[in-house]
Amino acid sequence: MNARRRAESLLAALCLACIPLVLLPLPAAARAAIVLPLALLAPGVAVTRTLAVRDPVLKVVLAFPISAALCVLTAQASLYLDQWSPRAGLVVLLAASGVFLLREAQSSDRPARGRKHAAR
Amino acid sequence: MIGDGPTPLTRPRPAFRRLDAALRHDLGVVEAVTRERRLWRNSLWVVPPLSALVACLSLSSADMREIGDLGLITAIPAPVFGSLGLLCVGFVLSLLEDRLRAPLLAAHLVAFVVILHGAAALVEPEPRFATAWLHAGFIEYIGRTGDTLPTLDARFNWPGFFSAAALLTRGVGLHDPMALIKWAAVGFNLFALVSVYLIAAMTTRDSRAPWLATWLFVPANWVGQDYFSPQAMGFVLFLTMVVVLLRYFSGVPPEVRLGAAGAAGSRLTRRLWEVARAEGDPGARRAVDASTARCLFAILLLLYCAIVWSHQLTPYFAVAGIAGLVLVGACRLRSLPTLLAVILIAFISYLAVTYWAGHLHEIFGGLGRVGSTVSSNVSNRVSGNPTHEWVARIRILMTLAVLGLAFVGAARRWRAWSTSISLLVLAAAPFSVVFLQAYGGEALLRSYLFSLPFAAALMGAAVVFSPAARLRNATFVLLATTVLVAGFFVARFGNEAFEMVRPGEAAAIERLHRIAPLGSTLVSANENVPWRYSGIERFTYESVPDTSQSPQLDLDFVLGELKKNPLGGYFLITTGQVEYARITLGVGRDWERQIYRRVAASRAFELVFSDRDARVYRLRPGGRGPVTLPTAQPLGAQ
Repeated sequence: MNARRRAESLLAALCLACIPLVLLPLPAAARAAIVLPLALLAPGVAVTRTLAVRDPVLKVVLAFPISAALCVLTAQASLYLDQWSPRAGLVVLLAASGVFLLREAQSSDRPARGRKHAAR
Repeated sequence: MIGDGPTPLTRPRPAFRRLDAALRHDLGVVEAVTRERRLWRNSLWVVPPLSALVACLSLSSADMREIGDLGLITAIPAPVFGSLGLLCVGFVLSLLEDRLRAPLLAAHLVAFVVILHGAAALVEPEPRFATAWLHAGFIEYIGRTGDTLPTLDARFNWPGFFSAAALLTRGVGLHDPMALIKWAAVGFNLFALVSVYLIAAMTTRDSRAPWLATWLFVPANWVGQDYFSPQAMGFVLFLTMVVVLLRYFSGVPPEVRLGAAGAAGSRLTRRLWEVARAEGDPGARRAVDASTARCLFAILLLLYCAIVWSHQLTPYFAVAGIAGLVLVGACRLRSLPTLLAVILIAFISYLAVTYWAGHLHEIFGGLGRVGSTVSSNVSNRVSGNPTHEWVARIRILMTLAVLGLAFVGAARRWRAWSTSISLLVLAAAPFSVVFLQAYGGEALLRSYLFSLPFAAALMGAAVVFSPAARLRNATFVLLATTVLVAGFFVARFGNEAFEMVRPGEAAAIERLHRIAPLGSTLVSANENVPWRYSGIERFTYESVPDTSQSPQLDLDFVLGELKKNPLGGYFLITTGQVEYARITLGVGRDWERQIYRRVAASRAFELVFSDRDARVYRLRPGGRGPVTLPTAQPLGAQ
């Protein structure tokens, strides 16, 4: 298992492990310290994983803005659909990121689509 | 190998022995020098944590009561400036090393951001800036109710940032985002720095210029729009869009168009095309396959939609900048500006209708009125008491210095045939907003902010790094940093006397929220008050307008607003409001006492809370009838 796969698996595991943290009645400060950074990182990392670019700096740069934009999208969708539930929204974001990253980590042995032509 | 080789079979001659000894000596000297150099190189790693630690400890022990009319700078202890000097020297030495060490330079930048943009957070116990507290109120309301109040405040028509913050804070169990507000400026600046570095690096071959650009960006960003706000997030998202565009969708003007330009006989046009062609050289544009390009395009749209949903002005800057890139042929996505404009118009037409219905004059009233926009953005800001006028002048000088330095950088690149037309376009495009509207006197401020990353990239090119000119390079960087840092503390924190939130004020407002009956009216002496951070819909909030502050507060307005409400109401006056009126409106030092005297003489109020920094009065039940206010006394010295 290479370093990237290990990092992705770890991030995926953290995302999935944080779901009970969000749902259980734990102290808010502890939850915020763990879940907030993850929610602002993991969705972006999951999306950039789909990009066939070998540009780690760009992936790092994109992670936070994409996560923030996805949070905006999720929150606005819940408002417009009149289904406002912050915990559910956060769980959906974390679960989707975790599952996606886990799947990508498992399948990273196979050549990714377009990787042959990937940019530097 | 000398010394480590096999044992010689024969005894060496004396001449060889002497040579051997001399070589051993020389080798020892070389090793010692190498050891010293390594020690010296490694010792630079001590600088960022040491300077940050000293500065943070000093700032934490500073007395916020020493913040005066010049702002935070009067309360900053001397060791902070010492640590900034050390950090600056460390950065210059790291920048001029033969082999650049990116982690070391990045560590200097992080320490620089923490000291400069975290200074107020370290000195003041409460989060600063009343507007940030109001944003906390919006977030608290959305988090609690899952709804917005577009008729209560125009900003609720762009709820993207607030709803995302509500999702995150409520999702982890925080009732409001106050815990995040204090350090938001440091966070947003750190995120922006990465993009600034990449933008600068993509437009030059010099490996040092991007680091210098990023370094100078930190003190040049004095605008103060990086507090907990939609525009701060929008700024970071916009920079990310530019990074993606320049890296993957930058375009080189096709030959056919160069030929057409040449036929037109314009030397300037030819030159523009030539430099535009040259700027692609550093390898900024990366080739990607079609599916990745589609993904990147989708990411661009995602980021833009988040901007449109969050802030009124930022989408305009995005459209203007990207349209500029397309116009000069520096972006291959030629239809992107049109698509972005359509998204913006669609959003405003359908989802912000509550705002523009009835406010069309506010949106289009300033169209083409450049003179009045510049006047309201520049001349009208140089007002208030004499010290505040100086603060405003320093802001103007600081802006001119940054843009001037960027101009020098652009000129150097132009002469070296490597100027970046995309940087020039992106730096100039935000200022086109002055043709549209004054944006409450802040249009130029915002334009400067959105121009700054690209101006900083050009500033990084103002110095030509070469081993032969190390002393000159070091002098330039030290001088530029000293001037910008000195200006930064006054320009950025020059309003701190009324923008900080004193603990007494926070306690008074907390108390007011507790004792006031639901639905009652709360009136403050002016708009500079950190309330509405919780239960924004539970009371009717009013403030005496700025035009009714001088030469004395219009107490009739206060009484009039309070009497309208059968549930009664409260009148709040805080030290921050008094400082605001004194510094920006130029009222006399006796202004506050006059209010207290007149309030007491009116017998319409009773004092229900008082501490060092705030007083809360309740309208007496009997005071709800007509009250004759006492005649104003002559004011003291202005």
